[in-house]
Amino acid sequence: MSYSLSLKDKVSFVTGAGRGLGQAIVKAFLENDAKVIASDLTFENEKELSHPNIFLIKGDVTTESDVDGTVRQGVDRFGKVDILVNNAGIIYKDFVEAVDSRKWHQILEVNLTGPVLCARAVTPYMKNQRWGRIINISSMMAIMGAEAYSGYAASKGGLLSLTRVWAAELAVYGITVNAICPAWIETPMVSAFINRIADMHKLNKEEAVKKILSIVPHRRFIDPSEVAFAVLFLCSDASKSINGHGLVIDGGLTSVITPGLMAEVTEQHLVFPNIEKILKQ
Amino acid sequence: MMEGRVAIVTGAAQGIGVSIAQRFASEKIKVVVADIKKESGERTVSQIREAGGNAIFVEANVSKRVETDRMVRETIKAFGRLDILVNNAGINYLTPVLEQVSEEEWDWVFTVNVKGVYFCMSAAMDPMKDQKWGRIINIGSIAGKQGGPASGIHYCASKAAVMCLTKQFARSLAPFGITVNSIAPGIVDTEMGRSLGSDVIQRTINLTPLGRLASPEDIAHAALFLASEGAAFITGEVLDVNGGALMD
Repeated sequence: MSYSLSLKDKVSFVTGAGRGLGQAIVKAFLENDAKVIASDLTFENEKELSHPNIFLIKGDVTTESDVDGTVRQGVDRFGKVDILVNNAGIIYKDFVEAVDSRKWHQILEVNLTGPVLCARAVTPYMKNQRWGRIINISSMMAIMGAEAYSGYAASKGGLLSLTRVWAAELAVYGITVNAICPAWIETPMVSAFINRIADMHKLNKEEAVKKILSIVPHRRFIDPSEVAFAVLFLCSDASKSINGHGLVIDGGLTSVITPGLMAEVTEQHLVFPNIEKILKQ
Repeated sequence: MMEGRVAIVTGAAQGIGVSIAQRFASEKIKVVVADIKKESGERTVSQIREAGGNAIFVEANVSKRVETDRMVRETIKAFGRLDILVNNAGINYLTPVLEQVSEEEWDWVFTVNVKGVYFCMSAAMDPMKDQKWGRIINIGSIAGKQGGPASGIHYCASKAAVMCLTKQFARSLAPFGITVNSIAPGIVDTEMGRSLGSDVIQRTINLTPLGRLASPEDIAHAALFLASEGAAFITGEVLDVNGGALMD
């Protein structure tokens, strides 16, 4: 897309590669001549991902033996690993007084511990060859607040912090570490969000989409291929001076949004059913 | 995909501007090299043409509205359109913080670095609005975020202003398919960067995780990325190209 960012012969490890954004990232790597170790719990459209340069492997990013095994087998297959894209992630929302302990631990396990285990597994290879790229798929929720996002925002904020720590630690080995902080991407995760907003506000799907997009200056969702292109850029030699950065892809949303505006679209009326009355108390 | 696009790069007679102009031209973007320095600006144009690219020189002082308007008119006259504006022209004085900056010097820095960026954006936005597509890239600085070890306070404040202008324009121009972003380089290995002195440079390198200065090409790659179709949803963003020297 746009111009060529050659990643010929680079070997990437992409987590959460089974659907949505992960699948778009895998396709972008393949189109730019990279090899891909693609892992997920399950794969949608497995046939679409059949390609001589892809190694599909089922695995759980929260299980040490799965992660270590995936990287070992991937290296056996392709001889090395140059790039890690920590993309696997889950979301759930609860207000603070209702946080479910099991779900809290689960989201931190997948969104935060998973990237740690994956980075731990690949860095020895990257250090040895004095070249590596780690891209953490964080979120706009890492840099802004919105009600009911405790677990998700904490995990994505944590991932942005890890990005900076690893960038500082690994730079000397020729490894750069950056994050991408997207707003809403057109993926199954966002479809679920649209349905929830529609239910909540008693709107049809089209009206719900319009309501959500009313706070995005560009008035559209992100296409997964746009995030994939940013991943390619951050993996290429063109970005070799960019390190420890959180690249925001949000159509201007976080430049203009206020928590109140966000709440208008999401759940404010659940938290503050009668906000004026509460303010007067 | 970038072929046929038309870009203005201000301050393209030297330093980062030359690299941006050359990188764009290598992607078959037609480039307007805009600068007050005619001789070195023409040199940039010759280099681009020798490498097979398409470029013209337009003499323009970005701090004069009449000149930025003319710059845009001449661009349209030569190439028929304007798609990309890179506000790269800027000046720096190293007056130490604890010494008094003269009123003239303060005004001059803000005139070029802030008013110049504003005039160029306001001149370029009309053709971009008409065609519902545009890319504006403003060169900010790490100094605009945290101050700089040796840069003048007026320079640091002016770069902070550039990054704020970026966000305000990003918001207003989004409905027209125009993205507005900023790049915040650390010290770049150019004449202007080296003017900070070898002590400052060595200290900066020691404090930069990647252990070197940015090259002008590093900034050019980042500008090309933001100018591309693939970066269509990135707007109001400040892209750090600083080797990890500041992770904020």
